[in-house]
Amino acid sequence: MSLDDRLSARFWKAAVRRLAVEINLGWWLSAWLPMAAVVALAGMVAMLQVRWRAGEAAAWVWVGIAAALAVAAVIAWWQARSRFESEAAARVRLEDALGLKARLTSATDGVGPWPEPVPRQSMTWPVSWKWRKPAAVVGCLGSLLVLAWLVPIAGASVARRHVIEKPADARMVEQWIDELRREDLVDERSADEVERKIKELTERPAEEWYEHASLEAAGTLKEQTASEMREMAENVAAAAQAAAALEAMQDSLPAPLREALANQLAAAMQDLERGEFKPAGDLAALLRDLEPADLGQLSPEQLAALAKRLAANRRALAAALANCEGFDLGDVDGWCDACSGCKPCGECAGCKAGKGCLKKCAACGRCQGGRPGRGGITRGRGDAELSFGEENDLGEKRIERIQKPIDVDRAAPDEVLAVVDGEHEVDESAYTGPRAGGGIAGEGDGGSAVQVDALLPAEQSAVRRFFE
Amino acid sequence: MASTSTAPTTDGHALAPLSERQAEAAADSIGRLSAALNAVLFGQERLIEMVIVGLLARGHILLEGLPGLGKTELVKGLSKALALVSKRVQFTPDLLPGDITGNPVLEEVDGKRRFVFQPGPVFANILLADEINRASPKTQSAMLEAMQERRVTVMGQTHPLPAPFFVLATQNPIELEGTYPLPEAQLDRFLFKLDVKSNDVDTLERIVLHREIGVEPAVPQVMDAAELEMLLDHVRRVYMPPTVANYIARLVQATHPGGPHAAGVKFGASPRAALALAAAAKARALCDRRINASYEDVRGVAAAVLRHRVVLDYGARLEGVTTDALVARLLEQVPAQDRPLPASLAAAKV
Repeated sequence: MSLDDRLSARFWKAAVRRLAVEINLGWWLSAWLPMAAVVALAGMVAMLQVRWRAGEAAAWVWVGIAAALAVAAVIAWWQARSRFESEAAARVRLEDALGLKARLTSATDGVGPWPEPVPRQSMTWPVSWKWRKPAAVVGCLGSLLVLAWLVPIAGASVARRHVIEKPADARMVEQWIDELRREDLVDERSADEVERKIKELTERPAEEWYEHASLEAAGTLKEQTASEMREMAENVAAAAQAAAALEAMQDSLPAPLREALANQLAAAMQDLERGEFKPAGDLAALLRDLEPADLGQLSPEQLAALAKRLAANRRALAAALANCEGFDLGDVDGWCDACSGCKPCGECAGCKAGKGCLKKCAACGRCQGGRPGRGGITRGRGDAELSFGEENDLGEKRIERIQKPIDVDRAAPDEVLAVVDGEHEVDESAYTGPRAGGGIAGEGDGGSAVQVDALLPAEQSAVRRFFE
Repeated sequence: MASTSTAPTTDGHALAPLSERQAEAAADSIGRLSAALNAVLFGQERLIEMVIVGLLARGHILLEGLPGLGKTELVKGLSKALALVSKRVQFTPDLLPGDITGNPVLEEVDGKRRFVFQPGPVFANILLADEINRASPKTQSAMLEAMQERRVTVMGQTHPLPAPFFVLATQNPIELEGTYPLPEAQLDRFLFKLDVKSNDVDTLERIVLHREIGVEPAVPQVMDAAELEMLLDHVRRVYMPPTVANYIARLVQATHPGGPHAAGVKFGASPRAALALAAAAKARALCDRRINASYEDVRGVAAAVLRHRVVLDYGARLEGVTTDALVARLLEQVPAQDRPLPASLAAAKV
């Protein structure tokens, strides 16, 4: 075999192999595409599911899809191999398409030389790809997968949280506890106890949160927590007020009064200790260190420090409670927003008699150891100052007013908006058809038979016979 | 390049493979013969090519065409160019078998009377059976043995015909009254059935200018019987690839009724048709200077081989379907490679 013949043989054998591979690839593709479609659709569903349940695991879905496609490729090859074209068959196809007059087969059989190689560009290749359909299928499936990967989707947990909100009372209590905890005003165990109760409520199925019993429980928890917070505020206010009085009138105070104030301070601090909401931080440590019996023996410096600490705690508590949505502190003795703790003057008769300051507070100018109208720690509450405003201003944002008789905006779909009695306007003088003249027995109505009863039986039978 | 493999045989004996040089030389000889015949018969190049292919394939040829188109001239020219003995028999209804095969004649030899066989016109290299369908079936059947076995048996004695022996029969497609259509068995003996087409104006003009009634054109001898025998031997040695043989088999099988491509067919082609296709394809390949037969060769001779072997049913004939149209449809629908392609691939238009 000459060199040229060897080159020709190599060229044609490569061409035959290429054709066989191309055809076999087509068979493999026709077996693989349906499987790939199934895998892609399943992958799309899996992608959406995984993204919905656990978004960070979505990348693994791609790995799974790739693995499934690879397995499908192997199965497709196994299925399609019975249809694969041998090189001999591809050779026939090639030589027939190129008009080589069976010279490739003959040369392969050792008869005659191999034909001269044909330039690729001038070669009529026996088969051509119909890419449109496979490409469209692959493109659609890829698009579906990418769509499933990119389409915005809420996670299942987020969706669940958004679907059913906790009852408003429970949310309020949570917010109160958070507020107190952020300001370090309440002892951790007290806060944890409340949170445990909230958790007990919310551990029930979300569908049951709005049942009557659950709402009742949440409301009770809210009232109980509010009551405890109010009690803590009263105790803090009472302790702060007593400490301030002791500090201000330490020397001038008679011994019985001083002892009464010390007892009041001790009682308030004991109530703080016993309350459901216990103070947190250094105030709690201070309360633990102080013996109620020793309160009367405190040095001026110690008393000043205690008063200062209690006043600071009261201010912080006031600020925190002010941020608690839905919480109403109510009337608490010694609670003044303006001066953050009014001090008795120590000079008036009331102070000297131990019956409370009779002068107005120098800081706020309104109270005497309390809110306006209060006469001091022993006088109880007085009348609050009256204020003028709109009669219909009920202290809320929304102003109520009488609804209009017909409010179209609020009308229900089947609601009758109005019923009006009326009559049609009838023209009495209009022509209503012939009434008289011309021998017409009755009034003419369109479509009515005019002769029904106008014929005698004999005439009727004559007419019937005629038409028969 | 010299071939190294042995060409398949038809008789069980290995034939020496044909070399390209031998194929070239044979094609040159065939070309000379073709040129000589084209000088005799104008405008019938395709007919001459098919007649030569038929001769090289050792086949008999049935020519169908109107009178005066040069069928006899072609046979005469062929015999002259090949320096072969040719005889012409005008078939008529009263023609007897003995008029063709020959008769024993009572002669006196050495004082004794005995029958001596007088060979008929069939004893020639080329026999022109003119209007063969006008003879009675009995006479037509007398041709069967001669055509198939290349011998004649008269009164128990078998007489071999001279080699080579070819029958070129003609039949007239018109004036069918009083004719005896050839039976299928006899039609099957003919390798080709060729339609002799009418001449166009240019050809007629050439005939008018170069021919004269009563004057036969001079035809040079281009080869002798030995050379013709060598060509016939070369044809046998042309390689028939198995894939081409498979194509022939599928093509013949497709003519059988019941197949997807044979609507309107009553009887399909016989195995003899497959052999005829193979032999004719080889001959055509040699004419084309090739040492192997190809799908193109099969397609080139398919109509001539199959048109008289496929019998259409009554419905198809009523609809005007012809065997030529059927064969053309088969050639379109039966590809060289019948394995299907995947849906994502399309076969190129060749």
